[in-house]
Amino acid sequence: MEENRKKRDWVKNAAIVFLTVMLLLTFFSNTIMNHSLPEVATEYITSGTIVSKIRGTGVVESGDPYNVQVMEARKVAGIVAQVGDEVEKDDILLYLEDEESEELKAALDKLEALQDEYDAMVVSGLDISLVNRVEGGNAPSIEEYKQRVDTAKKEMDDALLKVDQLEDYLADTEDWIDALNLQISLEEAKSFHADVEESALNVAKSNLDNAKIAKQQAQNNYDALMADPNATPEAKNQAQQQLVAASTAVTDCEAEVNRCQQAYNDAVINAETQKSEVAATIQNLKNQVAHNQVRVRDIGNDLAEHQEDYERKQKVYNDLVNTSIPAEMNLVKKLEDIAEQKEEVAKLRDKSEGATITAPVAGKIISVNVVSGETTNPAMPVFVIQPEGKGYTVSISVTKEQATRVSVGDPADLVNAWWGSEMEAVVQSIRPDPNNPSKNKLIIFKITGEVTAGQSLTLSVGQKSAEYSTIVPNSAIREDNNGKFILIVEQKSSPLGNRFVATRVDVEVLASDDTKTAIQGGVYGYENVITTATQPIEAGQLIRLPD
Amino acid sequence: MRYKFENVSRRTKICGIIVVVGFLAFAILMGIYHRLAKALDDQQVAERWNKEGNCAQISCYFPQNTGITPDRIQAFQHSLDQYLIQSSIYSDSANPDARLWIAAYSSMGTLSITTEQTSHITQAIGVGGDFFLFHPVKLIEGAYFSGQDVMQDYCIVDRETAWKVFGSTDVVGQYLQFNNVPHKIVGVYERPAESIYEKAGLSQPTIFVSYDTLTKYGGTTEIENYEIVMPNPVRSFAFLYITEQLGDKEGRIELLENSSRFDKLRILRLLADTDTRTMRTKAIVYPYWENVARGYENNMMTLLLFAIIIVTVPIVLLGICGIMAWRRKNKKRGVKR
Repeated sequence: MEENRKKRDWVKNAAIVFLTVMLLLTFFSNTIMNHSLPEVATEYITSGTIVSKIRGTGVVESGDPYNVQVMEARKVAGIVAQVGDEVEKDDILLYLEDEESEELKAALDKLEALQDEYDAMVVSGLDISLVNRVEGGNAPSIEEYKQRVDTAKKEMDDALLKVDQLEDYLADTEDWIDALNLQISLEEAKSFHADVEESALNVAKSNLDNAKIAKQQAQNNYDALMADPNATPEAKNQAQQQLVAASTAVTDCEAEVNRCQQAYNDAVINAETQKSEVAATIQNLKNQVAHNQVRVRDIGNDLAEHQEDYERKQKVYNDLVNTSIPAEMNLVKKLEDIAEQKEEVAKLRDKSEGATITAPVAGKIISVNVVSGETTNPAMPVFVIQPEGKGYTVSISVTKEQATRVSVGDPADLVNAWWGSEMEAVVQSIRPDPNNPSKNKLIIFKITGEVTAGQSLTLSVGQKSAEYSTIVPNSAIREDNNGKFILIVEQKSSPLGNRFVATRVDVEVLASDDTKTAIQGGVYGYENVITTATQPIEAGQLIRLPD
Repeated sequence: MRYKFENVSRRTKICGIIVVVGFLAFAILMGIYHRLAKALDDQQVAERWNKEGNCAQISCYFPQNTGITPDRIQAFQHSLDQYLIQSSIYSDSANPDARLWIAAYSSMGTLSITTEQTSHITQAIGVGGDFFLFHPVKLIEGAYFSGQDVMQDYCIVDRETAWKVFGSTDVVGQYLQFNNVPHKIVGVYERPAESIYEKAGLSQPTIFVSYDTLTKYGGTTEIENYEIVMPNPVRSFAFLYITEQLGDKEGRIELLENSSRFDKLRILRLLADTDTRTMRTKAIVYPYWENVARGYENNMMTLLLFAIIIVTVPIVLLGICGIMAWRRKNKKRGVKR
């Protein structure tokens, strides 16, 4: 019994606790639900204008500065105008020390040097009549010099030609003499002898002697046989035949000897005749040689004479070309240089600055490049003046895409122009940026108003503003693989009250600037768009608005 | 005989409690694990970009002197467009402006903020592309900027910088001067308060500027980090392409797939590599978001290890009880016969 009562109490208590918890949860369900939901910030879709601005920073440069230069090197005595001063035309800018400029001094020194050189040339031995002619303004012309040179050259060349001709003639004559001597040698080398005939005669005589001996032997043999009673008729005949043959041989030999003797005699006579002829020829040749040698001597004398003539004319020509004419021309040139230098000195004297430099135009001094005591540099401006009304420029480098949003003539605003200056800026030109011509463009602004060169300015220029009916803050634009979208707040009724749901709307971005974006899509223009949230939210998720 | 709880043996009760508690603890740990896996918005970009899950998020971290510049990135992205066309991957969205992929790059540096009174150096992150789609820092005021904006002279400052320079957080529209060049503040963000972010490299006030600004006024010359979300029709399609295009043979560049970073199998593999995990063989300085993710990996490794250990006990107990009950049943059947 007690046990059953305990069990009933336990169940009753459990039911009470359970119902109490359920009641509390039900009463506070909304609060609990709200606390678990992400809180979002929203803004209403609006309409308005979007102006896409291009910003950039650049340094102010003088639009058309005027450089004041001192054309001589003069010492600065004092500076009157300073940077930033407004000057009027002819206002004194600085004072110079009153002395000759360095350029005039240098010119005078140069003139003196030229004069000294001229005097040295005059006393160096030039023809006084020539000097007088030159100083009188009648200096020989180039054509005259050329004529003189040509004449001298012609004479020299003619003399040389003559010398060459004589040398050739001499050489020919000497060659002829050599040929004659050679011929004499050849003639003298000739010999006339009857050696062959004498030799033949000796042989014939020898043969005759032998034949006679043989005949005598044959005779002796015949006589012996005839005296020998025992000799046979044949032997006697044979001996007789031999004797006849030997006699015949003797006769032949004698005839041969006579013939050879005759030949020998003729040969001797012939040799003598030829010898005398050769002697005559040799004599003739020697006479010719002697005659030509005389001629050679004469030619040599002639040649020497003409050689001297040529050398004399050559000397005259060289002297003319290398010495006298150049000296005359130098004299003329020197005189011309002196005249020029005198003009230069006169010009410098005319140009010579006074003691003050004045402003040639009215404007503002933007640069002073000299200090007191320094010497001015003709190549460097001493003052740079920004003429009144000429203006300044600022160049800003932008990307090509940014440059497409800017047109020439667009007005620009100054960014951070909190100092209240009355400045105006207008786009003057757009051109490729020389530092990066493939990617960037240079926008050049014309600046007017209170501005100084070297000042850094940030300018903002934009397209003409356009009206859009649906504009949202940039933070409302989201994106995923289905494109850009916004999340709008939609209200739904539920048993626990009104609930807010984030609903996705796909949009297309038309234009945007630094803070707003113009869109078009499934929106009517009065929706509440979610800009930020305490945690990432997705379409269809329950959200809560700030209290 | 009616079943009564009092008749159940003490041992059985204890085993039952251990099993229930074990599974409950395992469920809680896995719940925490999943919560941690979804906690980092930086690592969930692929899911946010395409809820159908056909995308992968790849991160590339470059050491110095690898020559990665915006021009190099632009060339790569152009080749990516061609590759997707060749692979017959097209957008099937009705929105003609829908994109198949998004990418962002960034570098760390410092900038000198000059005001009328003073100037000071601040940490800066130069960003390009759709950086804030990958890293949606918590905005207090204003909006994000992107690399597609016409002007690149925007900046987003943190609360501390806004207070330091202007004395207020309502500074959207004001200008900060870097090297005397004004840059427009378009947003103010709150740095995460968790200590892990401070340890990860976000301990100092940090502003976000365009990569162009950091290059001009901060001295940065190269991109340090590049992230991309692109179609991934099959496993590792995106990772292999990125590795081929942006990786290097020497292995100096770090590439990883964020979308599968916290998968259990991967975390288990990290458990197996605990001896080499802390070794640094690459000269890379990771950005704060990567350091935070690595910290989370370490925590999730610990959680997973504990969860495995804890769930092993009830499973083993159940197994033992089941075997004992089966034996008992067989014994009773034997007795009945």
